[in-house]
Amino acid sequence: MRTEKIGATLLVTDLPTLTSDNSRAFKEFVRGALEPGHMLVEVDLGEARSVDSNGLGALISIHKTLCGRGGRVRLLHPSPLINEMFQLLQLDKIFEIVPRPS
Amino acid sequence: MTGTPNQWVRKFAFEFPCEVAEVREACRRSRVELTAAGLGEDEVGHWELILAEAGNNAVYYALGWQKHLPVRFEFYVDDLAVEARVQDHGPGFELPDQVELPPPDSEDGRGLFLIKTLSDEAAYYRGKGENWLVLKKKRLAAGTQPVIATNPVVDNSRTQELADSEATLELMTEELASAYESLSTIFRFSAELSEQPKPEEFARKWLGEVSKIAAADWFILRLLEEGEGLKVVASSMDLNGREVLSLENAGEADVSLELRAASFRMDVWFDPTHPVAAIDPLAKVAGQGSGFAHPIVINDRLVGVLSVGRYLADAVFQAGQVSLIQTFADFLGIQIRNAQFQQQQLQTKLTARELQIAADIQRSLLPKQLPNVPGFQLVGHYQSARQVGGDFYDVVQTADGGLLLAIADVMGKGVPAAMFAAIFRSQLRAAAERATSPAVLLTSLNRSLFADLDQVEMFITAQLVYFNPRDRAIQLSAAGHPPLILAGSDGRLQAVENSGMPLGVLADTEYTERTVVLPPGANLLMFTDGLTEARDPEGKLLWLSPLEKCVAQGAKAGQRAETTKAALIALVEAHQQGVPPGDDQTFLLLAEYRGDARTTSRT
Repeated sequence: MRTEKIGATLLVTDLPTLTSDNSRAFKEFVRGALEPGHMLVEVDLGEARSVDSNGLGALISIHKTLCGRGGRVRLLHPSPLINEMFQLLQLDKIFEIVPRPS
Repeated sequence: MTGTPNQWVRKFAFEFPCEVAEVREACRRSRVELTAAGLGEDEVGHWELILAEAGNNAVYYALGWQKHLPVRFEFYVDDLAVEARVQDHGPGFELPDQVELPPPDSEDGRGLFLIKTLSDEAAYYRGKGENWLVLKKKRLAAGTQPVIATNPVVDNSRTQELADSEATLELMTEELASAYESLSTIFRFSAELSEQPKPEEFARKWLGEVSKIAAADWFILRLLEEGEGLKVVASSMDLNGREVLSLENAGEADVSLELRAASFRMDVWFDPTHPVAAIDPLAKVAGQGSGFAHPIVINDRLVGVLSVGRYLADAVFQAGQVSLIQTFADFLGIQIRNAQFQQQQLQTKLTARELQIAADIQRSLLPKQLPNVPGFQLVGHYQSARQVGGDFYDVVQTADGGLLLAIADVMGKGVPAAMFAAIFRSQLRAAAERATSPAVLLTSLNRSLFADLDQVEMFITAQLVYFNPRDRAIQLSAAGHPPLILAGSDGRLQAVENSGMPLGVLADTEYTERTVVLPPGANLLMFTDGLTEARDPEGKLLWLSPLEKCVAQGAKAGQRAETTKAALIALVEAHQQGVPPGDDQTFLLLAEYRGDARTTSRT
């Protein structure tokens, strides 16, 4: 897990999974890296092979933190399977999802 | 689980510790196995997500000891469908037919939705100690994907059916055999119980059998002994001299797994991640293995603690085995409680019988008829306490026409006291006829009884009065006995005391005696301390003075001895107000009675 700060954006990369075993650590890691000026958190799921409901819970938690300051969360390049799950759970309505380049 | 099994071409199963971090690894392993079984990447991805949610639930909802049992994944794959079974040991839940999506900003509540939506069939079976989530999902592009190159499908459907049926039958037989083994063990031991074996022997055999069935490497059974603590009564190894665990010392519960199980009345588990403390008495046996301590509680009363374990750390007990051990331990607890109860009843019966024997001896010691003494009346009274003591009285006519009046109190209760009273009486009777000196008699009785009394640390208090009606004089000698009460017809009391050591205290005591001339209309009362020490409901003693008054009144009124006797009994009973006597109450009353003399002279 790594973060990169680009202006008002906090970019989170290096996420091989976002599941029950690391979702809490992920949430705390991102919250710890957030600065007052950050209005957008981009989570790069390009390398994520699996995301489960606990991982989603962590993303939703961060989303709520950002909403509180008028910001948002953008999910980058999830695999088709993970993207399918977001749609199945109608989470594409609350997250901006940037598809994986074909 | 889901009806007739399909023609599975690949079956695999594995278990993993009930921990969140292990679910990921289990999913990774499932992915590898399912890929090897020929599933495409998408369907493997779906299954991985389903299994992650199912595995998480199995881990999150397990409580207490349930967390020590592994989660099991089983897979049955053919070219049409995949069936996955997830075994958990939690309290279980109701799987709804329809699972609604939670509000978009909810951080949880999506697991079941994913399971239900991504699988074609989902059913949850709750059992005792274990539950199964059974999930089925059709294969994508069914029949078009090659199954696995390394595991070619035998294209003979009848052969496959047969193999599957065989496998199913094998499983069923295994379950039945286990149940049969358990049941037959229960029946066999129930039959043995009717022969009333010793509880310890029975427990050792019983637990040996249970260990075999549940594949335990060792067991230790401790039973609660009132006032002592938890004592080892049976174990699979030699544990002689193993210390008793005291329930009084709450601090020890911190280091003893068995005490913790007993104190909190719940199973306490151990394994390499939750090891037994090095100072725990169980440490040497439990080592790096796994197992648990189970409190045996019957009718809300702690009976004991059973600890069982396996030497290998990764060989944790299955839920069925845990249930079996718990059930058998509780059954054993009932048997032990029943045996203890029977033992208590037997003891009560024996005690009652012993008391009956003592009472019979006691009654046989009392003279059936007291001798007639012209001008005097003699009456005796004996009231036994709840526990028969060693009081008795006797009157022996001596060779010179006199009377020897004796009263004695053997220290102690029950048969031993009654036996000594009998010995004392027989020796007294043997010597009394020729004796005119109570002091000489007491000295001689003490010498002959000393060795026996000393050996059992008992003693006798006694009072002897030699009375010759011709000269109206009495000789009194006593051994540690209360004074006698003497009153004349003028109502005046005389304190007549003369006391040496009780019999059986000093081997060579010489007793003394004193002579008293009886006043006219004399009433003389010899008694044991059961009378003066009669207690009222508040525990207050009667003491001497009311007895003295009663005797003085009798003498002054010239009452018949029977009347004074009745007055004395009424006096004691009125004081006790229904409180049963704590000690035997015995007295012997000699009363001069002029009325009888006149009657005699007229006839």
